[in-house]
Amino acid sequence: MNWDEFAQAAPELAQLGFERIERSGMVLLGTLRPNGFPRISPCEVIFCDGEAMLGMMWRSPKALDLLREPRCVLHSTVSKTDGTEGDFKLYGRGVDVRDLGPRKRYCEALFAKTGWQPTEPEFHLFVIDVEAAGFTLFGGGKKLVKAWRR
Amino acid sequence: MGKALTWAAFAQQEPELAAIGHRLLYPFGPDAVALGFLATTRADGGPRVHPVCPALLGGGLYVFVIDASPKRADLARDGRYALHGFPAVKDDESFYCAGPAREIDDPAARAAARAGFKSVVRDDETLFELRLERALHTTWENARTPATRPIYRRWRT
Repeated sequence: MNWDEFAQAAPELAQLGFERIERSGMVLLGTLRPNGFPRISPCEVIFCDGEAMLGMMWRSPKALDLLREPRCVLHSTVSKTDGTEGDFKLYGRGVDVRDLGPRKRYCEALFAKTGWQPTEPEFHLFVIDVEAAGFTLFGGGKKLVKAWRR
Repeated sequence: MGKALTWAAFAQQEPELAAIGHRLLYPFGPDAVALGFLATTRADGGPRVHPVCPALLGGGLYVFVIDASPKRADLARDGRYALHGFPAVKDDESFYCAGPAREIDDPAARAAARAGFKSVVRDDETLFELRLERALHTTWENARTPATRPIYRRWRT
């Protein structure tokens, strides 16, 4: 399911995730290298068309990982050491977007946000097919956990 | 691929890259807590990512993980890890290293590491040493322009 469908199924968790991701606009993306090792790469996320969209440089290692093995995880960035910001994780599959319509809307949304956009056809665009999500918050000696699975 | 090295042995081979890695694993300064994202491989083969407080101690790169956590099970089953320095501080520069994680079950070594960690270590955490087979530093030239390109500094055993 796409981001909006996930948000309908788990509205509270999706809102927490949206806020955490929008705070920096970035996630740490976990993918799998050809040799089976996990890889982590920073990646920008744009919410557009009801999707969580990830644009990547043409032929970048993380894009090649997803084209070969779509399983991935997105993790919100963290700027404090005490866990009180909350960690959001999203598990799913990266779906390669070739249609020019959503690619154009992604570029427009990115340009509106950052003043920059990539040039067709020299970028990869993936949307996340959401499978599971989790949120963890530490603070005051307590731990809050929310989890959802399709 | 060659034999995985300790941080100290890696630093001897690649002092500049190791110094960059040290700086980016301690984004709040060398006397504060280190922070990174640890990637492991799940039982079903998919990737997992989790924030951790690693530490460089006595020439080794270490991390404590909670015994009951999924990432502990991942490392026990398939020791392959990747550790990424925190990009939240400065996102146009990043460092990562990867290799095998090795559980340290010697009580004296665990106690010594625990004493050296700046983050709080619980009783129910297991110590792993992260050895290195590869390291990568990325900076971005002309970020956010059509001429943007990554500049890599790579090392492999």
